[in-house]
Amino acid sequence: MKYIFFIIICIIPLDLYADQKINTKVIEISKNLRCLVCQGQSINDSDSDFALDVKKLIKKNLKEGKKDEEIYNYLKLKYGDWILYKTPINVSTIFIWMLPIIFILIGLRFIVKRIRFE
Amino acid sequence: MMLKKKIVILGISTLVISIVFVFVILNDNKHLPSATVGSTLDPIKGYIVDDIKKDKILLNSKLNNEKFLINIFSSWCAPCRDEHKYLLKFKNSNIKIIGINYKDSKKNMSSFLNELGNPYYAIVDDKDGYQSIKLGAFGVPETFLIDKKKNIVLKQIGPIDDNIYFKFLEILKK
Repeated sequence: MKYIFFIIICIIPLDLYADQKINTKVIEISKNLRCLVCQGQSINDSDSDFALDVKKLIKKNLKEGKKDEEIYNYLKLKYGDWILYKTPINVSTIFIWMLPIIFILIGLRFIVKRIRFE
Repeated sequence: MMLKKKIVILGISTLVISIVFVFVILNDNKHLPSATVGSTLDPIKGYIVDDIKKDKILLNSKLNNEKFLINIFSSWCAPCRDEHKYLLKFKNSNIKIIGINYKDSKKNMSSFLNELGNPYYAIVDDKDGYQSIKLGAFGVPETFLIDKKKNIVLKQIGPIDDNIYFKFLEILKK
């Protein structure tokens, strides 16, 4: 009887720990997702019905043992690149990714011109 | 003299760029990206309204070779009441509608449908919202048009109004 009691006490925190691990993972993933109802908020920050559903879905998928990539890909398939805060690099987004580099080059040109002028 | 010219050019280009940005934002705001348009419909499980037993069956096989609508609705959603008359009109023109009952209780749903009339051919329970996510929806009401090959052709976010009703009807009758 004593031993059973001891074992149960040992198992309970393990279970809680596993749940906590999943919860932090849910937060980590949902921070990278844009809430489509209240744009400008991440799904983690939002309490809209949609955001709650997605959080629940992420948790369910994690419990089923799915990987982060699979969850991101599923949501991307359903809502497009727009739902991801990290914009993937492809033909339609390459300009956005190049923009900072273009700005730096333009700025450098200005600086070089200025130095030569002086 | 040169400096003045430069400032004028800079001012004009800033103005032009900001005007373009404002127009793009104003025009684009209503058209949220709908990634599922063009994709094939996933299997949907629900029950046919006329079926007394209300057994859940795979609806995809029941709707072969015809165009139909999928409408996400809820008894607590006010815009759903506004668009209800259009759904009844669709039903009267013999178009089947699958209703996805989003986060609702059965009791509230049946009193909602008793009050306003039932336009649905089949109803799918969506208590946890997963079915809506499967369709790429993020609120109520939303309406999808499915073609004969089970592809999602058109999507309406928000209630149906006169314009959208005719837009849907045009494609349905094609």
